[in-house]
Amino acid sequence: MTTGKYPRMLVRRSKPFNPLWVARETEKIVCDNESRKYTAFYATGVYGGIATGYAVGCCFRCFFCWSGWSRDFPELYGEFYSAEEAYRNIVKAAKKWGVRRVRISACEPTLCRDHLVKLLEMIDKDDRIELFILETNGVLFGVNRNYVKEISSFNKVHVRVSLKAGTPEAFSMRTGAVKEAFYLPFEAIKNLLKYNVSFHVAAMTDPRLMPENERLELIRRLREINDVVAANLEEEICDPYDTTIVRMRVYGVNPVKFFRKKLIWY
Amino acid sequence: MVLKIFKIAEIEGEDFNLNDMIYEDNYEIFNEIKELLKYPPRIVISKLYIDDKWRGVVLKAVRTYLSSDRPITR
Repeated sequence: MTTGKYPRMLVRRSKPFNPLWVARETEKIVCDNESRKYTAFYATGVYGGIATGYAVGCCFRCFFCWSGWSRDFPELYGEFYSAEEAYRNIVKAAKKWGVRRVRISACEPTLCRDHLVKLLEMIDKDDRIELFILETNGVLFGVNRNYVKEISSFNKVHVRVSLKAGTPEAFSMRTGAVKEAFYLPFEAIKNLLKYNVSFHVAAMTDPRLMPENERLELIRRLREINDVVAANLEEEICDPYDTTIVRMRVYGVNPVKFFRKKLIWY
Repeated sequence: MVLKIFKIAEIEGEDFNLNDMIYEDNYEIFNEIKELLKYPPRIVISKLYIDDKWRGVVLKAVRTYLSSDRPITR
């Protein structure tokens, strides 16, 4: 297990970290028994309208990430909410905005397992909610099959596994994590299939970040696992959020040049 | 029908519900999955795939989809 300095914003040529170690260190900061840190509760237009708990803490450090500074400095942001408090706030936001879909976003929601499971228990019983979108980087679901089995017991959950790269080298470069962890999200996909969970895969295949040959390699790897998963791939593009611009600059990518590049689809 | 959903998902897979993306004249072909039309296309595909009743149909559709000229597009 890698130990060392808690990673903040990604800088080029920094020593890769073990995301499982970062997950544990982050949990020490953002989880407290069944409570988790959140910075806000609101609703947004994605997924046709969704109430969102903006939670704190991730185990990747992608230089193109849009989430707030709480990702890099989880000690400085957010307040602890029990699963029940989070549930009440998410449902309140859903009611206010007239939506029936909910999620936890801006973080890795699979951190603080007790909190997530308790929250899902309440969501599952609430007729006002039709869907819980669980957006994950797949690390903890890849390493822990039982966690996926537990999630499979909830009827309203739809998982979205977000892939960052098509090769171990590109994965390490973009996320800051060790190359060996590249395979974990693919293991998560296998586990989700095994337990018949509703899910789809998204990938940051923006051509300004990912060369076409890497994109094809990613699709090939998905097809090796399951054709339906590959055909149902959601391809993401990178947007110039304030935090993304700063993270790119810190990483050594000129955000002006990057975002002025024409998006040429392969 | 499932093949059609794959093609609709190419245009918009997550942020609009399937029932907002099908034309009225095509509506009838989706009658069998009425209860799923409230979800976005990628979620509909996923839910059909985990349903034993529909899995075979999805597998057949995906074979056709992946053998088309440009199966996986942005």
